[in-house]
Amino acid sequence: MSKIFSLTLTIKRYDPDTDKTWFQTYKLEAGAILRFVDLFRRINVEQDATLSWASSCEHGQCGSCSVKINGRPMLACELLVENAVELFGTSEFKIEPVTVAPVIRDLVVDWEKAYERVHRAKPYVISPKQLPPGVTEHIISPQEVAKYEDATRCINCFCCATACISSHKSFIGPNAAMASIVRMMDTRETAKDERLDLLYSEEGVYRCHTSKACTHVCPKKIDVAHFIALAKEGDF
Amino acid sequence: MDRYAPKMKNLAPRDIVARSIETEIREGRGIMNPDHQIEHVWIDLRHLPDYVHEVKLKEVASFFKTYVNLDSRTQLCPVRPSNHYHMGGIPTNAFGEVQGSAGQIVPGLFAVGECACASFHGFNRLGTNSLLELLTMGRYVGERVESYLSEKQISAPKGAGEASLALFSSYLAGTGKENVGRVRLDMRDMMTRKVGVFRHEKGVGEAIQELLTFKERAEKTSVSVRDARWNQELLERWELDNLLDNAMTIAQGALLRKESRGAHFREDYPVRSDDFQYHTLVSMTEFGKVTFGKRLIDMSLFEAKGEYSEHFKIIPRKY
Repeated sequence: MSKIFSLTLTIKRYDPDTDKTWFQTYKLEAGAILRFVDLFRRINVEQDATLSWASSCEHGQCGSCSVKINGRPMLACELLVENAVELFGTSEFKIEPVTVAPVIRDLVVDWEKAYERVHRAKPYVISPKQLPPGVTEHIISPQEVAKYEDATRCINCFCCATACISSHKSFIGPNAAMASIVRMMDTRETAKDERLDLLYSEEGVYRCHTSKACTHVCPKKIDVAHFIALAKEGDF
Repeated sequence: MDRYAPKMKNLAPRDIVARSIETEIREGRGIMNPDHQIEHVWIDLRHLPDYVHEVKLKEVASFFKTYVNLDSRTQLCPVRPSNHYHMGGIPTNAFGEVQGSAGQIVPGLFAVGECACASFHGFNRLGTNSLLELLTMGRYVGERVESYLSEKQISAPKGAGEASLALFSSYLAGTGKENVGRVRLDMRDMMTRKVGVFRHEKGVGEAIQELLTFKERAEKTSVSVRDARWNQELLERWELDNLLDNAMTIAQGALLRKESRGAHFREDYPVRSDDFQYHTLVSMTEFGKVTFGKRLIDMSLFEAKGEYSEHFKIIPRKY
């Protein structure tokens, strides 16, 4: 745990004032279990206070810190230096913002715009089943929930959507599709026709080309491709 | 933990566990993590069956794996107290309406979430119950704001917003070579040592003086980017001022409260005292000059002597 790594971070910068894009290289020494968010913060303190990056919870729950590291979308708060060096086989890292939304500055993207696709998929129960008089709860068995429980751990970090080989413009995206698929499986949901209209629309699951890049990069280890595959079969 | 809380051990209240860990560290039995430069102790979960790690403690076990590359089934794992949640906050009524020192509502001002203290669990937030707070207070306060807005036309008071604009103008006009990040880190180290788990009149008094110096240093910083679109430098500069404000009011409150109560532990006054049976209210319009007030603790549930009221009695804490 006490090994020091000499790292080179080449980070894609963007200045909205001048509309200029460029790559800037930072070299730093870092301990094995520091995370990339710790590195960005260290760069702010020691080298460049203007480097802009986003994070919030810094423990893999909010999805704010996703960036591309050597082309792979990942959460910066969970990537340890020694794991990064092992995974990529190098101590040189090219860091870019995710591709799912316009860049505001450097590594910060406009998450509001990214969420437009998720909102379109309506990630909530649109029309809950009517409860019989006197009954105040919907009962869902653990076996029923087990079918889609994993998918509910999605934090909308958009790593899957960034890795997805389908177009961000023509496909609603893996995380948005999965959010809708989960509610199709939820027995409380009655608005199934509306959901099917979206899932089988021009921007629905047939835009998915089964690369499974989504599953491959998901930091919460959700098999996103699996849910989209079920939707293609109509297996809700 | 056998020595500190023989019955409850690791499941003793958080403030007791925090003091236990901190005591071990102060007495030289801590371990320094070289990467983060932080001292800690070990938690030993190796005796627990795999099922417990993989299913019952899944979240915790995965934290150790993800953030320090350790397997809790076979290895010791590092733990230490940290700043996890802010107890107390902006005083409001049950609908998020902010109250002044005399309990009067400040019209149009609302506070909700961690910054407020709605009091589902005293002024704390029990583990995993933040969802309760978000769903309930989020809804209640949202609905109250809506009804407030529809009640009457409110015009902004004269000069509204000018103070904020002036503040940001001062950040942009700042000159000086001090480093915002370093001031923040120095302040963090100092607060952790002097106004952290263990407090003492001498240390807290020094902290207050040092905070004045940190404020001076903060004012000798500059920003190079002048654009408002996600200006990291400006954000850090602003957050530093907010941190300093919080640190100063916390330190002064800690100095005033000459007793120990829950997480506030005074080495020079280690016992709870009825003299301090009140909530401290603080207000600070000029940095360093804190005005104090008191708010009575609501003991009505105990005094009503209804069902379960005996649970609200103040008793010595033995674990």
